[in-house]
Order: sequence, then structure tokens, then C-alpha cells
Amino acid sequence: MSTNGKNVIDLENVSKVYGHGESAVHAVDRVSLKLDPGKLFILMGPSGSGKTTLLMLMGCLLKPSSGSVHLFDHEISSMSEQELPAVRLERIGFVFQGFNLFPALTAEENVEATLNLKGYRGEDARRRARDLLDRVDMGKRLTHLPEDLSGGEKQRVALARALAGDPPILLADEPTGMLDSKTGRKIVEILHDLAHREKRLVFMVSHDTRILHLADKTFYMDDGRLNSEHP
Amino acid sequence: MVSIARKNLFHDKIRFFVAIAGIQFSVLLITIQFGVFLRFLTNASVLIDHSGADLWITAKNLQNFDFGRPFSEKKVYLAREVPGVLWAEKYLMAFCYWKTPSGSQESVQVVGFNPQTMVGAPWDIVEGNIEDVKKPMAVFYDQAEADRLGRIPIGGETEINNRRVRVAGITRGAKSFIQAAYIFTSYKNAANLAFFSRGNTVYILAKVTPGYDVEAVKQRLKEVVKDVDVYTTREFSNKTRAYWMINTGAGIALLSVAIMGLFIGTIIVGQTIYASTTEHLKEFGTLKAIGASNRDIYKIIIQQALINSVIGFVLGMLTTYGVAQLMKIGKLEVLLTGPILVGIFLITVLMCLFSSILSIYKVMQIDPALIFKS
Repeated sequence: MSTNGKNVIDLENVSKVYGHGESAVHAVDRVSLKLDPGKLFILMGPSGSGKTTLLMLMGCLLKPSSGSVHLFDHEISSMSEQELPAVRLERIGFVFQGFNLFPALTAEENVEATLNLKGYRGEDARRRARDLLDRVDMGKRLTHLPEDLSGGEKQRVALARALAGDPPILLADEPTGMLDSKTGRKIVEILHDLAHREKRLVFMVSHDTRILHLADKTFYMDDGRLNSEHP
Repeated sequence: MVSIARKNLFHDKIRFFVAIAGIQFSVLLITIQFGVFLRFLTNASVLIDHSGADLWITAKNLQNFDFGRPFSEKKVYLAREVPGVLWAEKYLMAFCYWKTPSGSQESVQVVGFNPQTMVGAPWDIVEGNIEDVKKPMAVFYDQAEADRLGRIPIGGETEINNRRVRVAGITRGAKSFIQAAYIFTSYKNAANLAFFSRGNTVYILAKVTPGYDVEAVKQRLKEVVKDVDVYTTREFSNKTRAYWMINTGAGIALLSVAIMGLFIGTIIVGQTIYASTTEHLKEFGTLKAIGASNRDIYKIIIQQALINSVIGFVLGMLTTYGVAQLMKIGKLEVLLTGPILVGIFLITVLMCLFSSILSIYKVMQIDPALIFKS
């Protein structure tokens, strides 16, 4: 993992509009944002406020209708659909509220599959997968399928998968949404640790106000507009 | 490397077996339909294809083998004089009536050949000795027609066109497509049974001397032997097949059913593979989010299609074999040969791959927001 201290993510006047004319919906409305590494950012806001759309824009899963999105000084809006997967693969790790683990793969295979995409093969991929799962205290659950894991364990596996290939950016969409408060807090502590100890940029969408104290900076979003601090 | 395709397929066993059952049924449907159609085609020309001759000399403007007309047997002597003709033999085919033990009459096609050279003789004898065809009134019938002809054993006697014959043997693989059983006997015997006028023949079969060009010998025969048509064995076989297939409409009907089987099979396989992909849509979306390229995802879908096609084909063929045996009891034969199996396997793979294109299209349309829904 390497970041050079500059803004890792830089959004300038970014808007995302769905539909046309009078029925157009401004999911993200002229958002400007500069995020630097080594910090945990939390984005809050009511449902339908545009949080997930903003996360998808930062994660190169969507292109903005207007404005520019820079990742490590690369303008991703101008990149082709063929180039974007490589950016996601090398630079971004995703953590989802619903874990999104592959139900047919064991914990180890879930991480290994991602490493395979990054070019790691065979024993090397398996060793790296086991190391990552050890880091999130899942080293003893390698051969378990997701259906045999608790919510907290699934999210740890998902975290290990997000860390496969050592991405400098972690984007998490309500990672504690399906967990009890104690387990959720542990997950956020791991994310905090990843930001501070390993100097990654961690950006997290959440509804949980009990974890706000762990954030280095909190944003609030409503009707597609972003405020820099929680009101 | 983790095989997401394989793991996905085998994870939900019930879903997997349902998918495979769909493909298995499609393979069964296609193979049976095409097998019946191809059996129909091969039966239509079975005697031509097994004649051992290179060339067939027939009456002018003959439509097919079964509608042979007599012409002067003197032409056989002319044919033998043509350079490049190794041998030329008379061959007779005539419709007659076979008396069954119950007293009923069955229409049969009496085939007469030269018992000295055995040109045009049955090629697969399951009971009896082909040399016995030289005996007076000796006949051979095919085991596929045994029930219809009354299962008269070797040594047993019956009548053809009210003339006494003795069963000397039983053949295999000489089933007539027009349901008038082939009865093999000597040329002389056949001529007697069919009240065939002396000095005529229905066909002349010729073999080309090794080293001579078949087409060139055919042209030479056309020049020398007048008022007849000359065909290579392949040409006459195709002409006969084409007649039954196109002119009568019977073949077209069977072919249409076979093609419908292919369409229905493709739809079943397509639906099966499409449903399988749709059920894993969120996983494909997640793969895209974590950086898998479209190519990575296509590979998984195509791998799934190939695994499905191989397993579906093997199980489909086992089922087909069982069904074909049952159909045989009902006197309907399905042609299952190596090339047909290879063809059906390729069709199965192509069906699965074609179906996976629909799935790929669906995956390409995945809304990224899907993966963020819990």
C-alpha cells in the first residue's frame, strides 16, 4: 500500500443526474470533495440522499453527469469502460452492507478469488489469502462457507477480500448495517486501524451515530448536496 | 486458481440438477429426433450403400432405388467390356407378397443377386450361412422384420407370390425404409418369385478397377451402354434419399420435427443457463465492482456453459440410449453412430455457448447499485 500524502480522491463540482427534463433526479448535486490518505471519513444522511451514488462515483462504478473525479491525479471521467476495472482492481477495496461474499466459496476462496483477479496464483494466492484472514482474526475459519459464518465473521472476510492486493482506498457502504452494535463497532475499529496504521483512505457510509467519534471527518448529505460536517 | 464457475454450479445441488435435467432432456430430444431422421435416410439407401459397387446402371430417369424398372440384361455384357470395369453384375429388386404363418400376406421387396460373386449380398448374417443362398428356393430375411414376417425359423418354409421358399438365414441392418421387408435370394430365384421376364435386369452393379478414375469410367459407361443412366454409388444413394426426403414430404416432416427439437432444446438450455446467471447476478456485480474485467466474467459464464454442456450431454446420451432401446422394441430405430454423437456434442456445446451470450448480455446490463442493496 502506498499513498504519497496528496489528495487521493478529488471531486470537483460533481453531479449525477438520472433521467431527463422535468423527471430528472439530481442524486448528487455539485459535490466538491478532497480526501487524503490515513484518515477515516464517515458519510451520513437519510435514505435516498445520494450517499451510495456518491460512493459509486468515488469507486469508479459510475461516471458523473458533470464535474470531474480524480483518483491519484487520474481523471476517471475520461477513462473508458475497459480501463475502469483495472483502476478498481488496483486502487479500491469495497466493503458492502450485505457482505456480498460468494456463497459457493469458502472464506479462504473468497479472498483467493480476488487475489486471482490481481494475478496471484496457486500457493502464493492461498498464502496471501490466509495472511489476510489472519489479520482480521478469521484464520481459524478458512474452510467455512459464508452460510456457516456469523454476520461479523462475514464482514471480516469481506474486509480481508477488500484488502486483497493492498488497495490504498477502502470504500465501505454501511458495513455495520447488518451487525449488532458490538460487532459493528469492532468492524469500524478495524477500518479506523487500517486508515491510521496503514495510511489508507477509508471512506464509509453509515447511519450509525454511535461510531462517529472514530471518524477523522464526518460528512452529511441531503438531497444530493454535501455538507462537510454533521449538522 | 479458484473456479468460481464450477463452485457456483455445484453449490446449490438441487438447482444444478434441475439445470442439468433441462440440458439432458434437450440432448435426448435432439438426438432422438435426428437419430430417427438419419435412420430414415440411411434405411432409404441401405442396399445401395452396402452393395460394394462403385457404379450403378439403372433404367432411364429412375426416381429412386425402390422404383427400379427392368431393362435388357445384355447391357451387362457391354458394361463388362468397358475399360476400367473390374466386374459388372445383374441385380434385381421386385415387390412380392410373403405369406405369414397366420395366413396373412405381407408386402416384401425380393432382392436377387449373383450367389457366385455375392455382389449385392446381405453384409451381416446373424443366423445361417450365406453360402446356403445357392440352394433352391433359399431366402434370407432381416431380423428387424422377423415379427412382421411371422418369425419363421431357419429351415422353415413359407410362400412368396404363392411359390414355396425356405428360410436359409437371418440378416441384420437391412431394414427397408418403406416397410416392405427385404428378402435376399439368388438372382435366379428372385426372378422366379417375381415372375420376372427373362433377358432383363433391374440394375447392373459395377466395380471400377483399382487405378481407374470412377468418374471417368462412369462417363465411358454412359457412352457405351445406351438408354440407361449411370450413377456413382454416392450419387444413386443421394438421389434415393433426396426422393424420399423431398418428393414425398416424409423426410421433410421428420427433418422439421428434428429442427423443432433443436429449437426447443436451445430454448430449454438457454432458459436454464440464463436463469442460472440471473440467480448469480449480484455475485457478478460484486466481481465487476472489485475489478473483474468483462472478459473475466465472460470466462466464468462460458465455463459454466461448458461444464453444463459436458455433463448434460453425457447424461442426455445415457438417457437417449435407454430410450432408443425402448423405441427399438416398438420397431422404431434411432441411428446413433460416432459422428452423430460428436455432432450432437458440438450442437450441445454451441447451444450452451449461444445461451450464455444472452447471460453475458444480462451481466453487461447490471446496475452497479444492485451490489449495494443488502
